[in-house]
Amino acid sequence: MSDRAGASAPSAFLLEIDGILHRMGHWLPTQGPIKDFIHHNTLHAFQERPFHEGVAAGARVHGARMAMPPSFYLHAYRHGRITEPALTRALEAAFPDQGARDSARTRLLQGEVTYPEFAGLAAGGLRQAWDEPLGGVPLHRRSHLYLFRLIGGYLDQGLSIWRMPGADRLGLWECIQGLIRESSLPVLPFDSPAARALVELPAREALLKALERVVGREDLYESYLLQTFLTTPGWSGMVSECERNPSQLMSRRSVSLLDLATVIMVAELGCLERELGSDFPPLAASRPQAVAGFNPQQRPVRSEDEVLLSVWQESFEWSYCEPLLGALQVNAERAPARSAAPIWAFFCIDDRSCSVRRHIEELTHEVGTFGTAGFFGLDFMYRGSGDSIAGKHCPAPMTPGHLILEELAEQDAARQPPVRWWQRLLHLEEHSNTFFRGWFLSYALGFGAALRLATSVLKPSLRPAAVAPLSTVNAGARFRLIRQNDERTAEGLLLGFTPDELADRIASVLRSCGTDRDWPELVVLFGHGASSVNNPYFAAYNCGACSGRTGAPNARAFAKAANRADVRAALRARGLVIPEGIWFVGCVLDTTRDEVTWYDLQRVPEALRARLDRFREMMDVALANNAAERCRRFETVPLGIEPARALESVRQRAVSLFEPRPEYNHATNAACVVGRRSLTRGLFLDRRAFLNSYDPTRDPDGQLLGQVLSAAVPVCAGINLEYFFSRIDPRVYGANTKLPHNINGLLGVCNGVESDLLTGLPTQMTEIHDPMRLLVIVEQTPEVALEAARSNSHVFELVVNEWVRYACVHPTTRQISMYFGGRWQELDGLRPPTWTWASSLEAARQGRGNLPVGFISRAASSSGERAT
Amino acid sequence: MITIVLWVSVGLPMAAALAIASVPISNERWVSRIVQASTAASALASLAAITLWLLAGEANFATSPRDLFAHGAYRFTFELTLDAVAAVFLMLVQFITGMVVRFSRFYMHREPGFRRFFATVLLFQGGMCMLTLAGNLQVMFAAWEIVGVASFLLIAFYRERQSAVRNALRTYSVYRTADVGMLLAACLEASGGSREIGFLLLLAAVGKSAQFPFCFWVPRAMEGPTPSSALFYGGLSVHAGAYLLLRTFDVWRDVIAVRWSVGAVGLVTAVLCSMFSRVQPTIKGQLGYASVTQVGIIFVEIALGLEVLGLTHLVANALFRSYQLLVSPSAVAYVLRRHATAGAPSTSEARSFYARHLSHSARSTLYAFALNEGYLKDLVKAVMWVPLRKLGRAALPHGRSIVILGACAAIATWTLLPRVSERGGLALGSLLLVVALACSSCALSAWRRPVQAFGWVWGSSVASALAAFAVVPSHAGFASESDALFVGLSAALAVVGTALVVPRGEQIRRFAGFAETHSLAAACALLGALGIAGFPLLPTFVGEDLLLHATLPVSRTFSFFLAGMLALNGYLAVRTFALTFFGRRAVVTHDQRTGHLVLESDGASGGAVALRVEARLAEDH
Repeated sequence: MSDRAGASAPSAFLLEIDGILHRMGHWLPTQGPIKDFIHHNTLHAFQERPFHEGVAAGARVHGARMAMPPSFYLHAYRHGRITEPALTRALEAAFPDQGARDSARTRLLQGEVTYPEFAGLAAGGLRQAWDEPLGGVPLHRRSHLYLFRLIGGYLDQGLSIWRMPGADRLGLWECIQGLIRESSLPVLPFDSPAARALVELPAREALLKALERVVGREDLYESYLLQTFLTTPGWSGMVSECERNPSQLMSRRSVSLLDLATVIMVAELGCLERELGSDFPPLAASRPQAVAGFNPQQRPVRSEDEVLLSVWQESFEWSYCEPLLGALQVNAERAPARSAAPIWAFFCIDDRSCSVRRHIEELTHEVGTFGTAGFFGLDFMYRGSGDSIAGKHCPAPMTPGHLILEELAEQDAARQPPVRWWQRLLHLEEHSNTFFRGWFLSYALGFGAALRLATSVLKPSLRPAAVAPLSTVNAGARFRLIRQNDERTAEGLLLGFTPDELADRIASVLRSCGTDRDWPELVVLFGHGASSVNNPYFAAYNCGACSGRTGAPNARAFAKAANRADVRAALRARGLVIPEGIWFVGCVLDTTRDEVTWYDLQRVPEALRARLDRFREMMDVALANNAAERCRRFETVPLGIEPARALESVRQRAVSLFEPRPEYNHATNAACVVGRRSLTRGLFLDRRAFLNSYDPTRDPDGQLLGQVLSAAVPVCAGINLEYFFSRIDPRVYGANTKLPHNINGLLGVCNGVESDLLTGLPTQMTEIHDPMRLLVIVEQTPEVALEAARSNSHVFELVVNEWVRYACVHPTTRQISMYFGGRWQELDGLRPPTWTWASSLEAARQGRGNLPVGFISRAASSSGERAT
Repeated sequence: MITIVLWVSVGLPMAAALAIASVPISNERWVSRIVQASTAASALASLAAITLWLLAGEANFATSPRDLFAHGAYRFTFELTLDAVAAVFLMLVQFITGMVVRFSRFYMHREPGFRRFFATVLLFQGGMCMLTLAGNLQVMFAAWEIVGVASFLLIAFYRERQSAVRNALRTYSVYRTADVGMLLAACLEASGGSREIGFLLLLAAVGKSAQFPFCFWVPRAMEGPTPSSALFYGGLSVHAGAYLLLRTFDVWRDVIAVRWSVGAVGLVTAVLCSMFSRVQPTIKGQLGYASVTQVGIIFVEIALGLEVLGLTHLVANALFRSYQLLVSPSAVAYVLRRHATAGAPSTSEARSFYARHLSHSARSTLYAFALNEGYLKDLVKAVMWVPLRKLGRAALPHGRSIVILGACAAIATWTLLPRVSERGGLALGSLLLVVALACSSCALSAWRRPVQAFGWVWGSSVASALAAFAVVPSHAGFASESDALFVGLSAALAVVGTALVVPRGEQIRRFAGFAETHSLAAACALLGALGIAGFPLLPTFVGEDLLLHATLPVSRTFSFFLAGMLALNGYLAVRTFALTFFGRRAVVTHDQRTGHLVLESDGASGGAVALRVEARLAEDH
């Protein structure tokens, strides 16, 4: 509190401002800089309420849709993608009364549901009052033109050549104050007398004065401010996110919502004064009866149309859940619980691994496949040999305390060619945009650009404009995995792990997967990443459990650690004995190119080489088959393409500058299965399930399950819900089509040069997604499963409010129960799926849309053979 | 032989554009086949023409002039000329268009508006070829218009987004300003002095190539899909002005004043835009200004008489910027990589003159100047639009008086004309022009009632035609009649289109978005608006030419204002169309009880799109 404000009667608003702004941050998007794109629930702020209520409130706050259009569901119903029993079930849950149920059913099936639309707080709240005096143009359309370039210029992480003077030292408001004070030319729209006068004040006072002048009634300040932030959710969310977690920015900026509020309010005061003259009446005076609009904390009153649409949504989801649960129930009986395999392959739980595992199992009985979060329990920061900044390689909520460095051996470093000047003149070099160098460079590079353009359009290859992403692993470089001393870096990180720390992490991964006995000869760890070019969303394609980076360093580190004698000794001390002669191999699977890069092969013992070579050959076939299955989703590739050609096609796709869909990454995700592979082996889940290995027989008290859930559920639910909301409203929750996107300050994308930052996913990622909540199925007794979910409040919140669905399969009786409205409900009479295909490739020839859950007879019969 | 291949390279893309736009082909594959085939054929034809021309070994080749229209002394002559400059630029046009079309075939996959995009790109390609090969300024002006409209349509490709449409209109308004220069230059081609033609051409080039003081539109035009931005604002469209100057260099070569002006404009632009480019936090904004900077330097080179250097620079810059824009989505990965190898993120800035040698206040001043883009946008707005808007606000309530005044002036013209002197005629004509201006300003302010707004534009056009008649009754009789007739027809078309969606007496919100729900009415209104704007494929195009041709010998000043009125009305017609049909379909009813807004047609159309996609997926099952 400043003295000056204290001298007069201190405003209650000013006293509470910090708390108010903190509350507001809650309603804004939490998407950080795009280089670390991390999937999260778009409506995280409403997570503490039941799902449908939260969605309804979100729609009212943001002016968004609350479901797909009625015609979407009607179409699904007519084509059997919403089943009759599912609709009946959803109607029964929503309308206890028979008469109401019947009339609701009639309305749904006659297509008499209107698609509700909400104006949102930004357009439909207090600020509406300015529309009329400003000639029908909303106030923010004027102010944003100036504000975005000021905020963008201040926060810019390295695109612009001239930085705003003082941006690296000062806060946003101080920096703009300085700019206005020092500049001999006006900074629009701060040139109006009233705005200029406020520029001299500190942020709090300027904000209060601007609110007094513009709004004029203290009880409206809070709603007005929130609605003002919601006119620019992208920038406000970015500021709020960077205030909460400043380390996300490469060039540090001390931003705060307070500064942002001040800048916006003073700028809008300037705009108003410019348009309406200096004596315009404040909002409260011109509209004394002004209504604040929907209060986000309040419970929304859902209209009948909304209830009916949520019935459609429920039945749409149940139509998928029922056959899946039925399949799991039967499948567990079809397959043997466990068999000793000479090779184990560990994958990420990612839905894209789902099909790779299936293709391996269709080819061979010798491989047991497992799924675990793709950071393999090793949480660290990683800096590749070519990088100067470290990236986080663990799930977003964790804060790693260790740094792993990759170092080139001295003779290798000497052999690395130095970066030559002409290599630096790649085609986005900033100097090409200035006067003289631009002049020179446009001559020098112009004709070369023609050549590059022609080759990249006619014959795409990795060369043009491809830029090595950060955090890649150089197979020839060394890892500094083991810590030599306890010194910390400037950021407080420890350089590497001790054998004991590694043993703890490895043991926890192996135990949770139930893979601490019946050892094979070889264990292969597949980290995963996705390569794409010309794609600002590259981080969203990578491993979600590695915060949008590749899992390569994690897989390599895990293998290295597990092969070390000292780590194995430490493991033995923890009761986990890895027998002599077992070898771990790390590698990374590029899910876009269906390609594996192997690490440290030269260190594999001679005795295992032949087996590994056979495995690698088999992997090549499996990946080609996988590519063929993936290709069915791409309309530009013919259906039923041969595996070899499919492989070529997906690899071409990954290096094509003109391909906005390098892959469909998590689109169509719908379920998460936590249990033994016997539950899902031989099932065709159409790449829609996250698969996490977990052995219920080794975990009677659910402690391991609790760990698994707290790692897997937030990540998977974040992915699922972000796809969900970006799909139902691509304009508000999503980033809409990515074709016109423009990179803004390396922070995010915008449309053109004067739009807000766009949050969420572009339609090119979500267009084939069926929006449905994640169905989490754990193989455990209901009591233990509930206890495990309860052990993590974040997971439990999602479960209890039904932002994810939670079901369990009893490990012995195979009884399936589902968690509804705060209690377990036993599901009986689940019908098993009717579809059976000979192989995944045959299934993939069926069409491009989502396929029903089915059995793959080849895999099932082979495992059956082994069972006998 | 050359004639035929030249015709093919110009005509084929336009024919294909027309075909694609009018025949609803839902299959992407067929659309792209037609597009690829016609683009390739046009490129091959150009190549063949250039080869034949080289083999013939003549300095330039011209097709035999063909009068498409003649009345009295006026002729609209279609001729194409191929010379060294044109050959180079033609190859550039075909190369970049070909690459962008090929690029977009996959890039635009599944995008709603796939067909519309390619139809517009083909229209642009045809227009660009025609512009390159134009044998006289009239043909060039026709091509100039086609390119301008294609540009408008592609910036507003995402027509549901307000900022896209707003920026498309902004660009189009600058293009119309440039058109005044081009239109007059075309009319004066035969009779005028090289000095005035030179300045008029400069005005045309300045607008089209975003030179001082119109620099601001280029970055704002980056609203369409990335390939279209690359094609237009990195590549071809923005260089069209420089090409015009190169092509007409012989006309104004000896006029020192023009050469100085071209050089000065170019230099000022280059200096300013290189500053603006440095503060842009977005990659496309930066590239847009960088491109304009180089075009400024090209202007200087042309002014200095370094034609070859200018042409080389033009080609190199167009190729370079197109490529940069196409790979602009890589900027995050690229800059991250650069920072990672270079160390601290701001090293390159730290070495610059700006960071090292300037005082804090000088830096702040420069930064503020560059961030506000030299206040050019506000300046142009204050000079061009604010007075008109004020006039409109003042005039609209007195609409009836303006109509009566106009009617009186019209009657006076008809009855008095045989008896008044030339000076009296000029006075009457000027009065009518003032009436026309008042009508236009009313059209600017009456956008809430689009039918009325089109009515005002029509009134303004008729008053302008009458004004020409008043000034030169003997020559302009036919011209005014035909122009009034065609403008009347266009306006009627536009009125019908808008009246279909906005009943009389109803008001619309800004960017009401009716194109989403009423595509036929939208097409109708667009055709009408383009007719008022004198789009080359429509008869009003000749009408405008005729009017100016008739008045030019009498008074240059009068003709200048008349041309200005015609350009303004064209802009206003397109603006009214855009405000009515572009944008998101507005919300109409408000449910008090639940607080939500319901719009049936909106839901239905959104559903229809989803339904279509789903149906396609279902078919694949």
